[in-house]
Amino acid sequence: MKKIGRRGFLIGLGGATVALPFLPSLAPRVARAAEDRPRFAAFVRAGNGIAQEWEAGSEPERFWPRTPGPLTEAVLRDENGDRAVSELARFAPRLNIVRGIDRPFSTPSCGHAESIPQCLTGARVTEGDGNNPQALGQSADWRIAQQLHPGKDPHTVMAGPGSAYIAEALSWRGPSDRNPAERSPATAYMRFMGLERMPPEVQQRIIARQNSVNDLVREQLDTLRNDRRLGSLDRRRLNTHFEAIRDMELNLLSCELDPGLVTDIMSVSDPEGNDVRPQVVRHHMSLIAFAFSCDAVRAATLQIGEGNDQTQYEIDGVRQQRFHWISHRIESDGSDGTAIPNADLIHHRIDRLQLQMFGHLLDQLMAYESPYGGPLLDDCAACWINDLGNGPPHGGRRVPWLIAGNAAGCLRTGQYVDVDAQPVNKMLNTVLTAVGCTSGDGAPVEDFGDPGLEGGRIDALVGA
Amino acid sequence: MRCLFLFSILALVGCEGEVRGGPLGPSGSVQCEGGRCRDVPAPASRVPRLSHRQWENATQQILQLPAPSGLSAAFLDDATTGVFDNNGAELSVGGVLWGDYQRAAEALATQVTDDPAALARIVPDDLPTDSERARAFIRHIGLRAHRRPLTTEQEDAYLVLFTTGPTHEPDLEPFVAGVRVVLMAMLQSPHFLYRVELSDELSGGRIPLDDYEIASRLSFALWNTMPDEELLDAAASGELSEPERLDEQVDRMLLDDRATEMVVRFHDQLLDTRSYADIDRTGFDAWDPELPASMMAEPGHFVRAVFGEGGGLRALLTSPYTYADERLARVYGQTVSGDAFVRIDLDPSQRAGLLTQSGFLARNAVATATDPIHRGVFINHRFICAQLPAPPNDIPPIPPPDGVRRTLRDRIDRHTGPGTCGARCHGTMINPIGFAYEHYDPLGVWRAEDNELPVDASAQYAFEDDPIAYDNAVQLAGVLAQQTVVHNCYSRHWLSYLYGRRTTGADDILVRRIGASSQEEDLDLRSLIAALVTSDAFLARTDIELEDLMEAP
Repeated sequence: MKKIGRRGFLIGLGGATVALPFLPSLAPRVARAAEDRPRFAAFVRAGNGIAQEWEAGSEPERFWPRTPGPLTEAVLRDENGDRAVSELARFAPRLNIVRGIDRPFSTPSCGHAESIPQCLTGARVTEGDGNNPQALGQSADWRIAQQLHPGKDPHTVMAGPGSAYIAEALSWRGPSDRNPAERSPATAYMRFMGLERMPPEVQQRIIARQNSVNDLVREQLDTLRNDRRLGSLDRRRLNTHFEAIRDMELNLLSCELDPGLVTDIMSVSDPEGNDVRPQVVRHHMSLIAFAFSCDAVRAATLQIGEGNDQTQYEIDGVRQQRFHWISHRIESDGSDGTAIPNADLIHHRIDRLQLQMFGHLLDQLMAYESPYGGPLLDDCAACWINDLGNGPPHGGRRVPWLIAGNAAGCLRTGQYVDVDAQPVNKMLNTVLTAVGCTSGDGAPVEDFGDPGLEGGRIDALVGA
Repeated sequence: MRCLFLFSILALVGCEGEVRGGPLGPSGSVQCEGGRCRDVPAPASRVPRLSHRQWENATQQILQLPAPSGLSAAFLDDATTGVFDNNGAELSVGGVLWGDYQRAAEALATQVTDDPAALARIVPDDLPTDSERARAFIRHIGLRAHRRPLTTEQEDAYLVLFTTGPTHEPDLEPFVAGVRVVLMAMLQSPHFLYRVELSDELSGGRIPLDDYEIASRLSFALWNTMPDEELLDAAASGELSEPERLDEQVDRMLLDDRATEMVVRFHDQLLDTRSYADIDRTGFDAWDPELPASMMAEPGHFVRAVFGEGGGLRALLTSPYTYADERLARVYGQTVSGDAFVRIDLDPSQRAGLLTQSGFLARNAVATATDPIHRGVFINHRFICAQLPAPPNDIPPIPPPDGVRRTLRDRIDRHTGPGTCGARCHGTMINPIGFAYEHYDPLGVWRAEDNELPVDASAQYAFEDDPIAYDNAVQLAGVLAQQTVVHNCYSRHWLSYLYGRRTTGADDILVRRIGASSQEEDLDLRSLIAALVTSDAFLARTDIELEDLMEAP
């Protein structure tokens, strides 16, 4: 299990900029009282729905376990080996497989474009296709970051092309305020760590210098944002900028990424390319686990592929058609095209690949040691989701939610539950509360998402 | 010549435009007073943020670097919603991007102050004391970073910061240390990162921009960067408020290579050439793994030629030539040696302009077949500005082949054409455009047959009133080049790009006027661009802010 690293890192509240040698005078991350115990949430999103039985007589069931109930490795591996979730058999005791979660609102214009913004917001979405639909609420990762880790934005990454008909849409700073996603693991890593190594006295000077610059810039920005001539939309953007200016502070991160992995990450020259996508997904996952281990962020989102994931995945050494076409079962993004033979089976294989990749995140979280004992995964709610329920017809019912980790005992695990048509906001309430978020009066979060939705949590998941 | 043109396009509409009624005017507006009519500006952000490319260009210019630093490549990409990357109102600065800006500012300031030659380019050397040099440096760089003279308060604040330099950088010579820390601050200043427009004095129902605001609008629109010295001088002397002086500046700027690259960049984004990188047609005779890169470069070479030769939209849509390297020439059945792009004449019965170039055709195809639907949708959206609803959910897939040999067109027509449930959009708008390109295979190679049956690329499309028939893509290109709606659409895109914002109904009259001139007079690109950036809609603000626009009924 990975122990505390040999070096610390100097970070700003928004992320590290420079690395520094270990400073013994700085407190490492240590165990705290239970109520202060940092907990983490990761949200990994796959697209295009899953290969599941949609209704009687449709394509066969290839995703969910056969029967609800307790999960063991044997149950998933032996009794459900033909189901995609069997890929996570080794995590069964720490796993929740939740069937029956529904997208809360319909998608009158475009199933993909209007579904992703709902995933982590449970909010209504403006109509439209492409990148036009806007979530009218905040996403769970931002809620976690702002409530539990003030001044530290959630980590928002994507494995996919730089520009896309439907690009990133998982993370929303606020209503109609989409958070851009970093594509490159190398860039994300450098943001965390920086690359310079300097003596502590130099680091102190850097802090002083940056803070002096920040003072001046902050004053200019404050004057500008309060200018009476600005409209509220301009002011809101400048407020976001103002809040982003963070003074540096010495903060020891008790972690260090495996140098071999750093080399791998830095060697990917085209992180947006199709053929390195699974590799980029894994690198992003390694960095999410790394960031959690440092307590550098409390929440992270990883979107795999664009809205209608067009990745051409490799199955058994063969590069497949675009995943979106496979999910349509034809060579087309629409309804007209040549049928793809065995498309539902290929979709199932891609589901397996997606869960294998998710397994990499869980392996990483298992490999880090929590300061409280046991693996870091036990401090987490690591969620795998899909914004759509199935391939054709890309429905919004039974969107999959798989949660690994018990968030320091706040979630029950080791079970497959069918909650039968519950809106996604209840799942978000459950995860938010599990990682430590509370409502204004300190009570569990019961009302995240659109206020018109029925509140509450998923009782079957709520821990002791 | 352009002034003559400006007169003519004003005369087309004259004062018959819709006089401003409601807050925005329901479908565009002009204001007339004392016999003179002005376009009414649409609401726009007062603090549009620079795009990453603009940041890159502006920092190079401020610091007089021999080449772009490339630092913006590591910036967090913006999550934008429109066709272009420069809609400043939707570009924001969150924690990650702020960190990127901070690191880049530090890197640039360090780079310049570590290099005596680079430092000498931006620091005055003809003053007797460091104190005077410091103030002169701050004024000099401040004018360029803020794109207007610093206020006394701003200057003093930078001076105070300058004096802290030796504390922060004790290993440097004190003056250099001051320069470094001030550069770091100026490159993170909101007055650098945003194009700030605070003019607010109403005059004739509009808010004229001051000269520095005009200079910035012009330079970022035409050059994608900050004003140069001549433009700053013109702003300082108030020349940009004088129409004739303004025209001179616009003419000068449009003859600069930076304007050419701006025009190329516009078309690259309009065509989404970046997406060509994903094209893979392994198995096709003319395929080469390096072909996507050639496809991405082809429109730029072509556009440069059309722009340089004084062409307009008509030439872009109908010219039977292109530029190709060895790989690309094979797609067109021709022979070229090497990687350099050279002009090649194409068979005018097979090729016409941008929309028969291989990148567009291959991007809108699938691995083994053409994709008339996506070709049709793209042209409807980007060149006709047709309002197509998104495809409905839950469409049953096209039936499998029924054993009868058919063309793809035949199969699609049976599923979506006239008489089917998809007739309204597909049968009348999408398919008629897409089918015209059925002579081009998934790589863009011309073909006579599909599935061993003769290609039928004929169709008809009702652009405004009666349907217009055409036999193929070349004829369609000629038809498109004659349509007012197409010229209006193209002008609308240009307005959005040059103004750095989305268009609204308040832009309609201006768009229609420019579009009409483009269509009727075969307006060249320089004149089209000049007309847009010398319009009152560009040179003034409305007193309505963005949120008022959003809240308007």
